[in-house]
Amino acid sequence: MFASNVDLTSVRNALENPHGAEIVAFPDLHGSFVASAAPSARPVHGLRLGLGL
Amino acid sequence: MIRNSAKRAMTTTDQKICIIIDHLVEALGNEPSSSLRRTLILADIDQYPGTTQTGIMERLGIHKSALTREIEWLFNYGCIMRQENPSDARAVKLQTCGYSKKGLDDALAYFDSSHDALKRFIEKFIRVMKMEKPTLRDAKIIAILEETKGATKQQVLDRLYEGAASTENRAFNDLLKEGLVKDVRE
Repeated sequence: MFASNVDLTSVRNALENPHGAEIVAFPDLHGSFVASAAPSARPVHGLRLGLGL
Repeated sequence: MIRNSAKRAMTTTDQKICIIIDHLVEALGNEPSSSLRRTLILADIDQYPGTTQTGIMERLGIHKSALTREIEWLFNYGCIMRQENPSDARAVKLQTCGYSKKGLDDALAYFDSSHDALKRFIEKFIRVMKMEKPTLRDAKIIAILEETKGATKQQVLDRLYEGAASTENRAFNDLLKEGLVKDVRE
């Protein structure tokens, strides 16, 4: 017989409390990102079908 | 829709975790060897249709070279579409499509359709796994063991994804070696 040795409490909380506010960022790569000099790309809505609506 | 809602309501949290991972595997082209990081990237693209690689880098803090590889994989597997920008070759817009969209939608149903919540769920899984590049298969093995409160190796393998037995065996053994699965035989 085998059992999990991982504490999934935080995973369960994320599922049971979907509206809890917390920033998602990659845990292993904090600080490794170097910001581009280019203007920030913002999500462009209305382009889902490539229609430019 | 009502039937699905009722089904979700009657399912335990640990059962839901298993089901969500299954939907995410579907979203990744039925490839359970996909890393949770790749899954997080796909969820982010779904949340921001038309996003560029720069936007993903800013939001998730993933290094450019790693992100480029993941986006190539997602494109080659038909998970995302690219829209070239004639005036700026760097600003290729990305969006999810096909089975990826459906798989993500099915997973999102467990999070009140909140992409932030789904991404938080994936990110938490990455953190607790404490290993390099955990895969969806790794996550499913742990989820099965949590749900069953203990199982034989064969019982776990039977609930995986019909991949090569050697691959699934190796994944299980690696988790055992890493200490994420423990042997509880008396």
